[in-house]
Amino acid sequence: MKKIYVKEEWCLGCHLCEYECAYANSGVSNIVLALKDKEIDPNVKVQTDGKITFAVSCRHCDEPMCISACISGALSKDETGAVTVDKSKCVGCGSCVMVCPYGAVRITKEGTANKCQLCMNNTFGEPLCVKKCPNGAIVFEEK
Amino acid sequence: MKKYVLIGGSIATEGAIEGILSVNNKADITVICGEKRPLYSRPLISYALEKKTTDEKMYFHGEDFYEKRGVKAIYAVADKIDPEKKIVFAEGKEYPYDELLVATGSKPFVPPIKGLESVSKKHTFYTMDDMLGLRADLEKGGKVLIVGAGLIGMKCAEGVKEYMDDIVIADMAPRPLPAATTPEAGSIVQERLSSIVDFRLSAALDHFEGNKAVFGSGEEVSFDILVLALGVRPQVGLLKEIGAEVNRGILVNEKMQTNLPHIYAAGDVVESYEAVGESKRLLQLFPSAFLGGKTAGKNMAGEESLFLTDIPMNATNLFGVRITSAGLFVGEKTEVTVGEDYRALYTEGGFIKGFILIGDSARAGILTDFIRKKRPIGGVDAKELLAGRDLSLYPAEERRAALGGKYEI
Amino acid sequence: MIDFNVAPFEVVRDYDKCVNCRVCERQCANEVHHYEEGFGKMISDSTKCVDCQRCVCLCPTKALKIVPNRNSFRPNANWQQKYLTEIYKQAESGGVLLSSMGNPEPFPVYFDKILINASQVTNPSIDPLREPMETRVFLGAKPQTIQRNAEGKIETKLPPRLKLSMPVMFSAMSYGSISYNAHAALARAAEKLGIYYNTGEGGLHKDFYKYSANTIVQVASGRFGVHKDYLEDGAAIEIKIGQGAKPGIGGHLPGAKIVGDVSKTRMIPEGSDAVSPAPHHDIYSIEDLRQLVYSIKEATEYKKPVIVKIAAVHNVAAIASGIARSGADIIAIDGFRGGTGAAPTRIRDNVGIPIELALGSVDQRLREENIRDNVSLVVAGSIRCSADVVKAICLGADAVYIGSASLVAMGCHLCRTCNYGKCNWGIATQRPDLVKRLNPDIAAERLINMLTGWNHEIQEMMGGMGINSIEALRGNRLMLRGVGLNERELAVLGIKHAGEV
Repeated sequence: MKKIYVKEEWCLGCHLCEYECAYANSGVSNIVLALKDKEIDPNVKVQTDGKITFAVSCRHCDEPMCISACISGALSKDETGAVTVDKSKCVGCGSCVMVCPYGAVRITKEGTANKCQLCMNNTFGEPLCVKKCPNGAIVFEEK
Repeated sequence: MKKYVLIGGSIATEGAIEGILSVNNKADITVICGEKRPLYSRPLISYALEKKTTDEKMYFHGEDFYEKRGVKAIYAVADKIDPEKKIVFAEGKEYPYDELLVATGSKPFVPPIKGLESVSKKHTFYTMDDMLGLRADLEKGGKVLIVGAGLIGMKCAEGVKEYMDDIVIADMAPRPLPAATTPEAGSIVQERLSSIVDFRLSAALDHFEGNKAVFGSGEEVSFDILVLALGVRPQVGLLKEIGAEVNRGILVNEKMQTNLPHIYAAGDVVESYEAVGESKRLLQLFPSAFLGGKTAGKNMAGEESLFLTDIPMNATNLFGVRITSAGLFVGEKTEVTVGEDYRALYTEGGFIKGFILIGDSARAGILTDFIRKKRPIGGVDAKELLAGRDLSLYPAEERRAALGGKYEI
Repeated sequence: MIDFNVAPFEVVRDYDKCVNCRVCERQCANEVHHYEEGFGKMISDSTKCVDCQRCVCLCPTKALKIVPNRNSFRPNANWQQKYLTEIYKQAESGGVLLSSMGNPEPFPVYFDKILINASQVTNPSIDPLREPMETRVFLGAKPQTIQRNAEGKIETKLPPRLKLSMPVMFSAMSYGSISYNAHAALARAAEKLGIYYNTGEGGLHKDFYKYSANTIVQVASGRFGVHKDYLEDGAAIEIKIGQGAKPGIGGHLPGAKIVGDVSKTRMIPEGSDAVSPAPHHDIYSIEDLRQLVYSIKEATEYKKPVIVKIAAVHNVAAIASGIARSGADIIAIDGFRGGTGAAPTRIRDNVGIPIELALGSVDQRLREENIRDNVSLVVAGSIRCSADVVKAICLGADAVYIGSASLVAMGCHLCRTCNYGKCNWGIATQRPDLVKRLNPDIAAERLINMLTGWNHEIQEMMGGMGINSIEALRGNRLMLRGVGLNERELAVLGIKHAGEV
């Protein structure tokens, strides 16, 4: 399946991906409206080891721990292999957060789990973090 | 074609089905389920009460979970196993197997308390039927007494909150969640919830007199509804009577095999390998059941699989107080308080043994992975790990490979 | 002390659009932007801005623009603000003013005063999408006659040549003046396109030896990074006498850029300024030049063409005539608008002549002396588009070198501060965090895209003229007409005025 991969040698730590992600998943068509005076809670987070920066989002594991631990069936794999969240099923227990070794699932302010869903649920059609990365550090590829 | 028979219809069985099908997607699988319901998620019962989910959504993979996977579901109680002839008997019918999984789970423990029979509305809180029964009684409101301040009792309290005027939780232990947390964390939970729940702790129940509980101290609590949440006991009978090695649960090895040929066990019924204490333990946890079942399934279908990374872990949210823990609370303790949050990390010899987080649990899974995989923490300070964590904690090569899609952590 | 510096630009932020994402802050190596807690918003220090447009391009909400600072000294047609500002700088520092990239002053651009012909009715035009159109060129000396054997195979021993898929090459830009990633992108693009890139005078990083078939190695007056393997690696060897941006002086790379692999590749200590001598101290005459040309040919067994690169200066035609007789295979001429990583401002802005005029006179002179076929002519110094390429070829060039255009394709916005070493686009810098900003995968693709587009356009223009090969275009001055040029200019260019038949 096509997944998001990170080439950390090209990550600039500019954090654009975080804002583009927040915009993509805001449901608002104007980027300023989507981001202005908002505290963003994106599905991709730029992290650093002090020297190198890298953008971390859900890896869509072959054997996802989050799904193994999900008590509500909110997390599941779709037919493409992507790990998706059904917020209407989620009860916010946080088991997924407890087990994801990437720290890529979180409980949002709404109280339900959220994570990268490869921008399949928005109008952009392709992951916006990938499209807007200025340096090709985030790619969406079949491997 | 090999016949796979799975006794029990909950999470370990779900895992086993996934495990078997991952090896052979056309396998002949029969589930014998005494609960007479399609697969549902038991931990959701409190959420269903609370209306955070619906009864329909409790069938968390759909009511057609078995059909969709080509699994035959027999809703009957298994009575007996003949390990020689490899047959399961259930309600008068015979089910031959080549490989058998026993995932009979556990049952709420109800001690023989004097006067219990005089209580008019009494419930346990474990299955969907328990929940439906309790809900039927809740409609009229009033006061509920929950005996047992463990996870089940506490989640039950949350579930009934909306219906009841008063909630009393009693436990012999001096604080809530005695098994799942530490004394420090338990005290914090008690403090945070004391305005919502009337705790009667260090209180030994002596007897009931109708809808009144009398404690050893002489204290009396009257109630409209009683919930007994005193823990659960593995249902080991089926295997014990045919000579399986049983302690508190059925003993299985890392492949989830019992000592009997072609018989596996998983879920709440087993004592299996636990990675922090490096010994067999009764874990009775959702992920343990799923992953243990999956391991069993793979092995049953002929693909060797070892389950060496099981550890105690729990995540829940009680009346808005998030509690996340994993591992064992042994070794050196490091505690920090960040605003309202309490965090404790337990380390020993450069390894994380356990943690407990009250409040923010962001990226706790990284700590869990360190425990499960026995990763050394190197020079990283425990306080830093409690302050926050990210992928930079993993070795650079491993991180790069994981982000680049060449490896899964 | 009074701060006489006036910000040449002003950063204008549309606060209605700014979402405080701080991308501009993280991306500006000049530290123009920062988030001011006290105000709860981003603020900009325009005095530090070089107008490289990095922040403008990366701003997700397009909240930024950079405009000329409207702060004005009292207008004076003679004492322009620029001169005052420069005097303030020198009064403070006592130093030589340094600048980068090509001459930005408003001298005439002759390419913009030349128009290209097209066929109508007679000599019909050719559709390059339907008919063959040859843009391949060979660079090197051309034999006077060709002998063929009975099977028609050429028997004449041909001199060494470079084969180009289109008449464009990347001009000399040293590793040091530009980054490792910029070099990698140029090398990869040259290989993919079937053209050449040029090491400049900084030597060749060991990682790029694999592109040897598409590499021109340069030997300049400083002889930095020159050794046997280096010479043997090149597809051609270029002796750099002069550079259009700074005729008469040698190359100049500030010590700040001589770090790590740059110092190793140049074979000089870290941090030392790489100041090439003004002349080659072994070349004081055409005869001396001939000795170096033949030394190099000897060292490389006469297998590689030798290029001699000079700056376009007043007597360029006579010098070119000498070079054509020195044994060199190719003459490269760099006009006064050619780019640089660092040059004294006065020299960049006041020395040399336009490449169009230099080319016109050199081609004419070599043809008059009947030595035009001894050499190929490559011209450089601000080739900006495919039309410039076509015009240069009509004026007599075999091919062109592009430097600035290739940098622009990679992201350069000609802010002309390469000499600061803080290129926000990761091109003219050695700071690892900035070098990283130029992903050579992307940069190479952009270079390939640009030249692919140019090649289509060249074919379209050729087809329009009814010409189907570069060979037939070269020196074809009849295809050009001048507009608004005086008699002398037309004569030097060797073209007619528009309207003349």
